[in-house]
Amino acid sequence: MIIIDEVEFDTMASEKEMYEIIGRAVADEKFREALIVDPKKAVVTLGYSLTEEQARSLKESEIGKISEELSSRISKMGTVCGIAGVALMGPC
Amino acid sequence: MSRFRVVFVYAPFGSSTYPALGISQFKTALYNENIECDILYFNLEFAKKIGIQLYEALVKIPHHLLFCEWLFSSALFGENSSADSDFVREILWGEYPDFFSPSVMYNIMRIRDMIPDFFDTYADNVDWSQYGFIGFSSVFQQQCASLALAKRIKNRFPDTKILFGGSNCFGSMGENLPDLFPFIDFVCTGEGDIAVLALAKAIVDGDIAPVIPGIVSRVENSVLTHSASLGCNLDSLQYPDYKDYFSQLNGIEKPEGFSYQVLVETSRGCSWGEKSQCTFCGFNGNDLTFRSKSPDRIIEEVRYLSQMYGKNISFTDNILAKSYFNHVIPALASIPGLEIFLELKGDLTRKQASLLAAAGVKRVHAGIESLSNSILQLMRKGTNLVQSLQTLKWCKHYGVTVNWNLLYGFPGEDPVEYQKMLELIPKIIHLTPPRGPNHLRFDRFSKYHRDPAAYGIIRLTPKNAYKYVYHSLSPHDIETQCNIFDADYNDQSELYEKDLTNAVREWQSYPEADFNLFKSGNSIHLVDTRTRGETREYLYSGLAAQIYLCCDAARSVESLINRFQVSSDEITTILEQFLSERIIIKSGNNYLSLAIEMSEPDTHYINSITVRSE
Repeated sequence: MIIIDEVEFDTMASEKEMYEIIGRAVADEKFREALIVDPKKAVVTLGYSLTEEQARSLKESEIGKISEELSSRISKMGTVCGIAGVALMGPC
Repeated sequence: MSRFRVVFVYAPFGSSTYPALGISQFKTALYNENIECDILYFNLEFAKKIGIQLYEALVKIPHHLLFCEWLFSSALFGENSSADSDFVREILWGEYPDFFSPSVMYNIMRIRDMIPDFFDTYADNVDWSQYGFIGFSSVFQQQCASLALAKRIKNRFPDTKILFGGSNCFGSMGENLPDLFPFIDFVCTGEGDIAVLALAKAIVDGDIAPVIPGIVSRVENSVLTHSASLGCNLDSLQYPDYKDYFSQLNGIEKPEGFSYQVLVETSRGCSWGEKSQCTFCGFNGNDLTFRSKSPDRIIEEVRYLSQMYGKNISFTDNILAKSYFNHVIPALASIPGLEIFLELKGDLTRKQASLLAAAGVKRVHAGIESLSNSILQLMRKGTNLVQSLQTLKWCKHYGVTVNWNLLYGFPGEDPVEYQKMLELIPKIIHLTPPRGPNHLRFDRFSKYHRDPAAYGIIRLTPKNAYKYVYHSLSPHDIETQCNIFDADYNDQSELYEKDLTNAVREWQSYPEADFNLFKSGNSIHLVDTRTRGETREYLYSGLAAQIYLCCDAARSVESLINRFQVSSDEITTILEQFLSERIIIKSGNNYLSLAIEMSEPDTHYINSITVRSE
């Protein structure tokens, strides 16, 4: 977040920066925990800033809530990557 | 005095949609020997924790990424942030950055963080000391979770005996397991029907170092490897007891549309592979010998299991034996209400497709693999293009859904073959599209693995993902455990991969495409919507109609001349017309009509008609 003349502007982390932020979270458990507690504050240490929406998407993540998103994404991946309808399927 | 008791654990990421077959058969066999057996579906506990919908989505992530194994690797080996970071950046984001988006990865990490505690709690909540041994059935991506739980159990109850088995323990993989993971006491390195029963009886008798073919055992600090496991007469196997699965599944909230499958094993090995193993196939470990239960036994077992547990039956057989069309498949039709899935070779006859439909077969996985004759020959598939297309066509006609893979990247292939596929696909876009396309995978036990040099493969190395998942093992040890390899060979797939993928995406995105044939007296009416936004119709009668119908199964010009007793010129003129209208294809000397014969009345309005008649 940049403060200019007392006015706050949200600057959105780019997609590439989001990958960097999460890449750091994968490698650093403490950073991951900090991200859960206060995403906006945590990313400042990396020199990035998040919009309210980006921060909320990290803060509010719960397993139940992500289920739909993940299954939807991975279902699409199934079509793309050639996943068996059941794990039993294989070459024959 | 209480009976001797053993337990089998079925770990994540075994699918939650079916019970474990092998250990459910052991349960019945052990019970008959006066040994109590529990089956703990640890996978269902984990599915309950994260929700079945999410769990099943994760199960479906392509196995070669080892994603599900990685999820549990920290629970087994401890944290390794460097390996985790490399795994995510190189493997997940390297191959599928859009799918493993930042928000998805962030949430996956949160799930991963809770796994060690989840394992600890599970290990704490079961009285493992009551069991004579604790067996882990490990297939596909169940190895890290199984090892992580076994390690915790051994820490808490050092006197318990830990047994590992399943396809992840076949051959040399299993022989090395006790050295790599000292908490393992026994490994079943092949079929367990005889070996596991013998082990249980030996432990009951107090034999702590039994010599049993197929069981690797640890005695003191030595690991003893005995001869290979003994195969059994499949008719001698007990019916599986699936009650543990259903009782544990009942305790879980299931998403809308959840359905389970009742597994039935009718054979082992591969009726084709024992004659000519497909080059890429690593199923069945070292033994492809085909063995089958007797037809009467199969029907009795299907009847029993469908009455006990449900009508949604999945055959676990690698391939449906052709002999089943004589007795088994027709007899299945006598059991009402079955909905069967099975796997078969991509060379069905029309009669066989109709028998499958009558037997209640709703879905099949057909071993089609390629749309090129020369590539099918390279992989020694024993099928050809027209057989594959006939299978797709007749299954669609009879209402049997086909799953199939389109594989590419075979050593020695000619990239020109993929150009031919690109020309073919728009003509067959009304047939069920493949999954993928997928680059060929180099699996342990495949011919590529056994003899890479014979296929121009310079070197096979474990998939890179293994070194991040099994980050505590040496490269040599990883090589003993891995199932999937990278191959160094003249891979030309970059030349066509993108175009092929785009063509298949287009195919997958156009399920409305149809090409239907309606018969009316001596005429046929074809309605063709294979081109988006366009309906073409054709009406043929007389010889042209007869030839088109005759080519429902591929025919050569010679066979058509014999059949209709007309000149070669007459036949070829008609066939050339069919080819120009894209309603038939030619493969080698054979012609195959592409339209699907419809049984319902022809209600289509004929907009524009092309007539070819005598």
